[in-house]
Amino acid sequence: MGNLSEAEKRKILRERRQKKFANGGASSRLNKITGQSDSHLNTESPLDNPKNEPVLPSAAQKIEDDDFGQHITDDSMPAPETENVPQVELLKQLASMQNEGFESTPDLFSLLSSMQKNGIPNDATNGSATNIPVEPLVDPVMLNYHNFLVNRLKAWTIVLKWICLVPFLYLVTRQNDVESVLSTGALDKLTDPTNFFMIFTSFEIVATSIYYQRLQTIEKNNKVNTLDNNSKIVKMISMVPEGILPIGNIKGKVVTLLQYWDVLSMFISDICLVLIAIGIFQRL
Amino acid sequence: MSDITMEKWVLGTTLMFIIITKFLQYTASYHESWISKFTLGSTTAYKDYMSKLHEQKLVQEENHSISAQDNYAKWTKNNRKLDKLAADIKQLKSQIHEQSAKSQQLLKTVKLIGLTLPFFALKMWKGKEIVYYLPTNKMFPHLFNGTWHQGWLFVAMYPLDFALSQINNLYDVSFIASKVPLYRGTAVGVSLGIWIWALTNVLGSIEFVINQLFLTPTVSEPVATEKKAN
Repeated sequence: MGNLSEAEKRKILRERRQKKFANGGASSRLNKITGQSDSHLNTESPLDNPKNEPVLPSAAQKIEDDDFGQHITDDSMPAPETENVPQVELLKQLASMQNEGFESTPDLFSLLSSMQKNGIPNDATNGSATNIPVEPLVDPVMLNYHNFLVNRLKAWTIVLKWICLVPFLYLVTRQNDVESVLSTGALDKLTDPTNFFMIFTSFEIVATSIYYQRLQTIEKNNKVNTLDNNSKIVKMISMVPEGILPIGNIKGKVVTLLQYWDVLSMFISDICLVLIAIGIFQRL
Repeated sequence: MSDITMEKWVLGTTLMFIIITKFLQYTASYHESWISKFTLGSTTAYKDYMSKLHEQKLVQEENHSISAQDNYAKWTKNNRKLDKLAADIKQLKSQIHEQSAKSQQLLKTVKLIGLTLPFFALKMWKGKEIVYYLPTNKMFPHLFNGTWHQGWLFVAMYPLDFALSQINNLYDVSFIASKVPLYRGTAVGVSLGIWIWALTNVLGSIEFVINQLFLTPTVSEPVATEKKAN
């Protein structure tokens, strides 16, 4: 041994080790390390069976399309020992995991880069994988314009409703004065205080329906949901993760409640006008 | 035709409170400058601050007009003076801020004592008094009539009244039912509490309409990016 060079020494040792592994030495060594009889760990070493299939055959097949995978699974490769080297197996396994990862969950870096580019992960696969309902961002300029249109619609609705209500209230309040001037049957029924609440409620239902129709048209044209983007309550509720509260779809329920409140508040403001106008017309 | 039944001073005071509240609401953005003008204008700290600012400006101008190399002694002296003035100004500024915060707190306290609490007390005291009567009691349903006449308490008491009337059909509990102070009259009036609520609401609506239709500048439709690209 003393006359042998370093390279020859290493070659002899490698051959001796490979012979030992070929005779089942690797498995016995693994057994010694993992040790216990009730252990579920696989103690069969891939080094014992040099001609065996890779540990994860399905994974190895999946990465055939990949350049790296093709390279390491190619049978025509001149170095057969690369198939059995554990590092190569590990690389194969990692490559297959990465390949699978593209189909299911996004890796952290792609998610972060996507968020950096667009503010939110807007990729369809990312969205389905994370399963987080993400509201599309609304351009602030468009939101400003939308709010302007909605407020103007509301203001015009109030004005038009009051233009209709004020003469009607005058007729109802000053019924006796009006009767002496105009005595028509249809007007009598309209100005009869007994019918007042029925006519008022019907008018409110029609006016509110027209208002909502117009509001939905504006929302559709601008592609902006008014409550989702303006209501602080909805924004706060959106921050509560699903499952924390025992109520399902809490945001949808809150939005519905706010819509009802919007309708009710318009009705309330009109009924306030009724009370004040009656008082004023009685004094005239 | 019914006339106003309420004592005139009550109505006048209520209107005055509403006008003052609205006035304070509309002028909220000017309150700070008004307070500083009335309270800080005469204080020594403010006067000192203004004189020090003037002095700082003069010294700075003088320092800019001379050369630091040719008039080194004067320039250094002025520089030290500027440092001292800057420290004094900073101290005076913090004093003025403190005084301003105190004045703001004082205004809030005055508003609470002079406006909010008396208005609340008036509503509690005279809230159920009738301001005027409606032409007939057939204009609104019973629930509304009772609310206009007696205030929001009627809405809270209504379920109790309903339950007692149902029990009364089986057992005689009229002695309890009679204790429930609910509206059962024929004439329907608008109580002061309800009238204040209605008037505030109507004023708010008028304010919103004027603000949106006359004071808000028109926002033009933004040009879409796709349109721009084309």
